[in-house]
Amino acid sequence: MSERVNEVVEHLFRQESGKLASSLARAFGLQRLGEVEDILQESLLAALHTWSFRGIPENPTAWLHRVAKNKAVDWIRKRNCAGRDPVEILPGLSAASEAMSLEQNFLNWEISDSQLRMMFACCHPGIPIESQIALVLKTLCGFGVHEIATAFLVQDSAIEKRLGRARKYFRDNRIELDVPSREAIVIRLEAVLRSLYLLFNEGYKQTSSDGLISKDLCTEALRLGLLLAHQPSTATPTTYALVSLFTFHAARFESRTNEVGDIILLEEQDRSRWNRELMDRGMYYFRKSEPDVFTTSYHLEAAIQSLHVTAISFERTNWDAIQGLYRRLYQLQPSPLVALHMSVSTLKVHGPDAALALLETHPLPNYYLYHAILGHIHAENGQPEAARYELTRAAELTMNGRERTLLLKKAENSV
Amino acid sequence: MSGSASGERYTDIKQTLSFENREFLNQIIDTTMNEFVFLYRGHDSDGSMPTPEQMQAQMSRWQDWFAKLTAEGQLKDWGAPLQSSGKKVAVGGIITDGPYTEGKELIGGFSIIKANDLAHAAEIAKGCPCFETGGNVEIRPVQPM
Repeated sequence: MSERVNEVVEHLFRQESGKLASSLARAFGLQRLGEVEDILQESLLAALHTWSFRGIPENPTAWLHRVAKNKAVDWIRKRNCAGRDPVEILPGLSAASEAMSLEQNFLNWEISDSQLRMMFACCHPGIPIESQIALVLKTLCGFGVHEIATAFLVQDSAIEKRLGRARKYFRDNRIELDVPSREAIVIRLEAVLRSLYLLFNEGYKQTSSDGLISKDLCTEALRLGLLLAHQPSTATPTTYALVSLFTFHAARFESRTNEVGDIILLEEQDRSRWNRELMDRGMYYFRKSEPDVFTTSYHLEAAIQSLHVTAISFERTNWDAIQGLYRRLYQLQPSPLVALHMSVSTLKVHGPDAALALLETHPLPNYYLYHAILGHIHAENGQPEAARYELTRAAELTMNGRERTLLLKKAENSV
Repeated sequence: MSGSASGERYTDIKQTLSFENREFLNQIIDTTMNEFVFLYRGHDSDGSMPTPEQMQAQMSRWQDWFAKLTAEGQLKDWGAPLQSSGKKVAVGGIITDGPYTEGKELIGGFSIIKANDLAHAAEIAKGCPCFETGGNVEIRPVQPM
C-alpha cells in the first residue's frame, strides 16, 4: 500500500513547483522573479517539513497555494509597512484589495494555459536564448541547476550566471508579465520548443534516478507540445515536427523496459509491444510538419525515429537513410552528441572502423553513453578486452542504478 | 509510615509478577520502556537549495523513517516539524526575535521515541534521515514520573 502511494506521488514536487511558479509569477510579475523564487522555495520547504511528519494532504496543490499565498501577503504587508514605495504587485489596485486579488489569482488559475503563457513570458528576447531556456527549466519545470548544466554540457556556475543575469534584466528593465503579441509568440516559439525538447529528454534519460524513463516528465512535455500544435498561432511545421518526435518516442515507452524496469536496447525490443496508435499519431504530425520543405533538427530527428518505428526488425532497418539523416543533422549541429548517436548507423553502414574513427574525433570522455557505445562497437569488432574496459568505464560514469547493472552484466558477458 | 507504604508496593509487584496473564506481563514490559525526545537538528541542508527532486527524495526518507519506527512500535509521538522563526523571552519580559542560530544548530523538529535505554535510543537514531543533509539528532531521556 505504501508503495502505491509513493508511485502516485513520484515527481510531485517537480510538478507542484511548476504550477506554483506560474501562479506566483502571474501575481508578482517577471521583474520580481527573485521574490517569486524565494516564496516558491519557502513554500516547497514548508511542504517538505510538514509532509515528512504528517503525510501528503489530499490536495497538495491547494495546500501549497495556500501556504504561498500567506507568504505572499506577508511580503506585501512588510513592504507597505516599511514605508517604501508601494509595490505594484497588481497594478491599479489599492493595498486593501491586494490580498483579495491574490486570492483570485490563486483560485482561478488554469494551469495548462498559465504554465504555457509563463513559458512565453520567460522567453523574453531581451535575454539570450540559452538564458531563456535555463529560466524556463529552472522556474517552471523544476529543474536543478546541475540538471540544466548537464543538458547544456556546461559547468553549473555558467548556468548560475545565466540565471542571475536574466533575473537582473527583468528587474532592471521592469519587465511586466505581458501576454506576448502574435508576432512575439512566433519569435519566442523557438525557445519554448527547445525547453520542451529538453524537458522531454530529461524524462527520457532520467540522468540521476533509478527509474529509467520518467514518463510524467515526457507526458508533460508532450501535453504542452500538443497544446501548441492545436493553437493557430503556434501550430508551425517545427511544432508539428517536435510533437511527432515526442510521439514516436512515446510509442516505444512500454517496450523500452521490462517488468522489473531494466532497460531493453532497441535491438532486443519486442516490436509488437510498440504502441500502434501513437505510431500513427506520430506519422500524422510528421506529415503535417511538411518534412519535404522544412528541415529543422526536430524534422530530422523525427524522420530518424519514423524510420525506426516503421522498420520490421533491427536488422532490416533502413540504416542507409538513417545515416544520411544523421549527416544532415550533424551539418546543422556539429556536436559530439550528434556524432555519438550517428555512430550506431555508421557502424551498420560503414563498419566498426569508421564508427570508431567517428567517435575518436568526437570524444565525450565523461559521458557514460559514449563509453557504452564504444564498448558495443569493440564487441562487434571482436575486441572483447577493449569492450569490457569501455563498458566498465560506462558503468562507473552512469548515475542510473539500473543502467549500471545492465552495463556491468554486458561487461562480464563480453569476455 | 514510609516503611509500610514501600512494603505495600512490594507486595503489589510480587502479586503482579506471579500473575500469569501474558497480556498483563506485556503491559509491565511496556512500562519499563523509557521515553526519549529526539530533537532533529539541521533539517535543511544550508547553502545550496535542494531541487524539487531532492526534496521529494528527502521527504520519502522521512516517511520511511516514521513508517519503520511505527512498525517496530518505537514511536510514542510523531512530534512536529518546527518553523525557523521564533521569539525569545528573557528575564524582565525582554522579548527578542528568533533563535537565528546557524542553520545546522536550528531544531527542525522533534519526536518522542520508546526505547529500552539511552544506548538503545542512540542505536535507533542511527537510522534518522537527518544525517543525509548534514544534520544530527539530540537524544534526551524524558524524566520518568
